[in-house]
Amino acid sequence: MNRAWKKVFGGADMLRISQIWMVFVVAAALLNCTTPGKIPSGYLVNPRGLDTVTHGRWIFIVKSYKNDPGVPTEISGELIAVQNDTFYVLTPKTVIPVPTEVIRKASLIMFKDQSGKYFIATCLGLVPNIIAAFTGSAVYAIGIPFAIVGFGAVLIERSANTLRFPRKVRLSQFNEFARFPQGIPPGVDIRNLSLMANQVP
Amino acid sequence: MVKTSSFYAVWCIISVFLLLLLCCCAPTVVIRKLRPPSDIITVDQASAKSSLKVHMRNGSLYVLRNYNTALDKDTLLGMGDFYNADRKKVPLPGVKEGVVKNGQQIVRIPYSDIALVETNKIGGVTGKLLAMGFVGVPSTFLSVFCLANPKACFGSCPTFYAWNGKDMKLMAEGFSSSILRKYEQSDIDMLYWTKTEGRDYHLRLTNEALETHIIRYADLLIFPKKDQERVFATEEGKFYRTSEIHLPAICKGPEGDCMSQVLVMDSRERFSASDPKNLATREYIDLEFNSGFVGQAGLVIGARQTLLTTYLFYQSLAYVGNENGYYAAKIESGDVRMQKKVQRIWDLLGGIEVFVQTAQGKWLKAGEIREMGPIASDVHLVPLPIQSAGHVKMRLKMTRGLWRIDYLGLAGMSERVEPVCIKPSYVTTNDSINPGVLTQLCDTIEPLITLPGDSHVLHYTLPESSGDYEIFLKSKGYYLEWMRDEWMAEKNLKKAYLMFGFPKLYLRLIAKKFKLVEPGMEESFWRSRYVKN
Repeated sequence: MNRAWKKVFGGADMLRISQIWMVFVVAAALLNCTTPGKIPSGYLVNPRGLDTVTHGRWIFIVKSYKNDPGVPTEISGELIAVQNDTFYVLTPKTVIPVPTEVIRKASLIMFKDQSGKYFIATCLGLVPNIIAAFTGSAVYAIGIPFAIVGFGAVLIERSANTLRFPRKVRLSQFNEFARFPQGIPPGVDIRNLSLMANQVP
Repeated sequence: MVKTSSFYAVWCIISVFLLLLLCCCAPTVVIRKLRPPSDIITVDQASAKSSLKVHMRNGSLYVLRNYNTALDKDTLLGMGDFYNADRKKVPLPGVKEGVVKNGQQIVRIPYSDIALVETNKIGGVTGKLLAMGFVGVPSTFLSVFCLANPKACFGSCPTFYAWNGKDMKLMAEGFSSSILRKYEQSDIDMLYWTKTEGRDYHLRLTNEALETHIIRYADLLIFPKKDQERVFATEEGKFYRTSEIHLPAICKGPEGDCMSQVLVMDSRERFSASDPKNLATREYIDLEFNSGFVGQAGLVIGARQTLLTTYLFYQSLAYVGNENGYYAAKIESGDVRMQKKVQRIWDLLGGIEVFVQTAQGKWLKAGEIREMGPIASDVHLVPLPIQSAGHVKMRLKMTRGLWRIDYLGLAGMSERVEPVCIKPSYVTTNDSINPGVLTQLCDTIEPLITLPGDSHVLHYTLPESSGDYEIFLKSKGYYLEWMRDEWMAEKNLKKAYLMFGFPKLYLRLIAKKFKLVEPGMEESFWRSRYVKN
């Protein structure tokens, strides 16, 4: 009889389900809040903007510790060219040549992170379900498949805009996103090059 | 065999879902191609629609929107912008080919000056947008609808699925009007479409709503039958064997001819919208049969209710809000006045009244069916007064927007028959034998209690493997509707008093509000079951 009584009043579990679901949404939000280092806004173009962008893409390089003590171990700037096993990176101050042998890690931001758009779209679509979860309504359950698909897209998209060495690609693949993919043109003095105007961080 | 189709259905749903998930799993990718100038001809059509970037040997860059190769094949022609090595936009150099629209110049670029040409293609976006749209749009619309109209969603009664020769189909709902223990009653449902294969026969019993179901028994009532014979039950629980069924020659409602909807029990139902001024307004359907039967005949009606009663039931719970328990306890403890008040509103809505025209032209009431429930159509027999064979005129009187009629036929009643009652021989839950549930279904002291999502398969042993049977389900119990928070927000005891104290007036006042949700109720109801088995 006691077991049956408990079954009848098992509805109290509904509240716990709603709370678990809310934790899921908040965790997804926190996950989405992690952003890469500072990049000038002009270098963050939408994927379709890559068609007309004229500059190289922004790159972060972490050098080996054994390198010269006077040179910073972390460099970020526009990738100008990859030539003779050297990366030429245009920083706000100057062009720094970085031999490939000293590169421990590198990440190149091809375009603006798209996960934020998917996150906002998913959250907007789930507004009725989030309201339902707060009010304890079972309507929250309708949104679970969309939450899986939407937040799945957010997670997949999070690092899709970045080429990463050594985890995902070889260093030779970075060349495609340099300002001069053909190598430094003869007659061009790279010391005279500048970053995108008025968009230095 | 029984499980096969539902097994495939579940896998189809999972596969579609995984496919959509897979579409989402493709990240946005940039396919950047750098080619020597000699390969410009191979630039594919997709890339040709986008811009072409021409990296020059001197470090400058052309971004061309329209381009083509010259006839001599060693020069690129195009329109666009030109940037120097520091990526400052500068006027186009090269030879003018002529001025075209908007003052745009065509530039001629010799291949010998080009270092590389670049194209960019973006992938992985369309699939993700499609997948999100496919899942997200219906999900959001349904959620908004359910939040706005909570009484259109998540309602049901104990549901029974039976084998129809191809699949397990929802065929019966048990004791829909038994909303408290005080209203507990047995219910007989005809399993109209069911087929038997061998001696083993089973039903799947499910709880698909936010309700607690208390089930005392679920027995089969079976009748051996031959050829086209069928057995039907009257509202009083008497069973009659019928030999032949005549279809109506005329079936006319206020909307006109509705014959095509009532000839076959095929879920193509005749129904009407409720009256926008009064939910209790009646309507009539006129029936004519070309030939009657010598001796006793009866009208066979296959019907179920619309969601009007479900809406009113949920609305009543919303009005009493958190005092629902108090009023329920009053009814349970024997407050007859309160019981009558609840009953009055259902009486006002009424059932399907059957009238037959006598030889003198007067309309004589033959009977009425009052089976409640919006989920599964049940089939009833209404015996008619004995009259001579010949033209038969009948009239159905019912509340507008309350009934969905699937089938109407005039049957000759050959004899009254008594059923063989069969109790479940064993019960399986998640493919394992569950003796506890079997005991509860045979024990009136500790009944079977099910919660949302619970599902049991009840196995019965038929007397003969070769027999063809008419099968009815006799179940007894009651159910408790779970209160929802959005209902609590609507608590209004004044309206509750109006509903139960002056139901006639209330049915007029609520009509307009009901009309707002009526069109989409049926669809959203079926799409919003808490558990889909």
